[in-house]
Amino acid sequence: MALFLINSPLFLENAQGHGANIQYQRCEGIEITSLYDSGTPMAGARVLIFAPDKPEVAQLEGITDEEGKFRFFLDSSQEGVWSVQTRLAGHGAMAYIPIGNSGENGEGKSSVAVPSAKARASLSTTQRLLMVLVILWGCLGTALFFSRKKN
Amino acid sequence: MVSDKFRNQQGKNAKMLSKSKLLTSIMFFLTIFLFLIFPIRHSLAQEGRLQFYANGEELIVAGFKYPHLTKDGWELNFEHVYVTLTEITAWQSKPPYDAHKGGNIKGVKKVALPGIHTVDLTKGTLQNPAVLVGELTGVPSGHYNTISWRMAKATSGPAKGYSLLVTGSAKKNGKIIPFRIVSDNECEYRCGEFVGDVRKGFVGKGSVADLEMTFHFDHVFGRADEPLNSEMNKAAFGFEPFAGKSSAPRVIKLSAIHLGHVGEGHCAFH
Repeated sequence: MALFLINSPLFLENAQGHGANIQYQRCEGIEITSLYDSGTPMAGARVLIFAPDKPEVAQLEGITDEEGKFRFFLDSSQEGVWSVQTRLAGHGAMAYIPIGNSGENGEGKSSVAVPSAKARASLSTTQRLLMVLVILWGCLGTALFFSRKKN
Repeated sequence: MVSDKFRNQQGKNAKMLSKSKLLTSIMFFLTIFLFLIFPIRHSLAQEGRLQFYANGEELIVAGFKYPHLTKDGWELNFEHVYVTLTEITAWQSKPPYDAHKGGNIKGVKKVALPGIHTVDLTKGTLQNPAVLVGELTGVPSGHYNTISWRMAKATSGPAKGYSLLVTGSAKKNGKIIPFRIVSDNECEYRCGEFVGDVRKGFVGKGSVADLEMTFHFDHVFGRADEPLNSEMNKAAFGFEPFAGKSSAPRVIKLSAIHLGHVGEGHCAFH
């Protein structure tokens, strides 16, 4: 859910005459709601937020309110999938928030990489094509060798 | 004489031509070989290791002890807790697998630990209750954010014929009884990302990452330190149903209990 917070310009004066002002800018925010399967809010759950460029270290931390909600702002310059984890007393969940074009979740093609067949799994299409060409070259050479005219 | 010289020169030329052809062929195949081998070596350098752990957590290693008694007030000490695991597969899934929705895993890449593994969860320690199941080498780098496995009947060893075998003793009001709980039920678990103190499954160039299959036995026995009307306690058996007078093993169905987890994250199972 997108959340826009706008603070109005405000001018204050005090006895010393020091001026103060508040500048504002529009920021895109995120609100998460953490619930148990029963629909009960996970109040007081620990929230960890991971950025796409450093997915192993939490960039933000917080606690959900009594409705299981937590609001935060993302650095929208970091495109990709942001990960959010909430945990409370042995229960937890992950959520993934795509930001920007590179963060959109696409449908990945399934492919199997079998570790015991390391080299095969690592071959690119170009390498496989070259291997096929080399094999064809060998077959052609063998065929020409046996079909040559004997003087 | 001239003719002999000419013939010799022709022979030399033919030999040179033959040598030249041979050299050209060797150079050609060497070039192809080098072209192939360097990218492969480069690709292999992008691989790491991935370890798989099974974890019964503190409740199995230390037992259900006060204040963590079963929901019906029994203290449990475990002698063995054998789980038999197979088809253990780590996935780079996209989109990340949602265990609450269930369904098939859409994997971009996957690696599988071959074999059937019977693990005694009591072999963990209080400091590190996780028990190593196996390790894969040559794992393509990336984030393995999904894991699936099947609990299957052991084909050998003390747990032969069972996917789950739990032995130990239970104590309540000064009465101590031994117990033996078994299941020959087979069940597949499909789980999203590990939910815990750290994020797991990041395989990098030459690095070691791990994934965990977590088994929550409080979903079987319940917990006295949680409200009785909590979702977990409402679904859990407690220990009373296993505390009969007969010494015959008590049989449970895996499909009736939410045993397999990834840390604190739930799994789809069927």
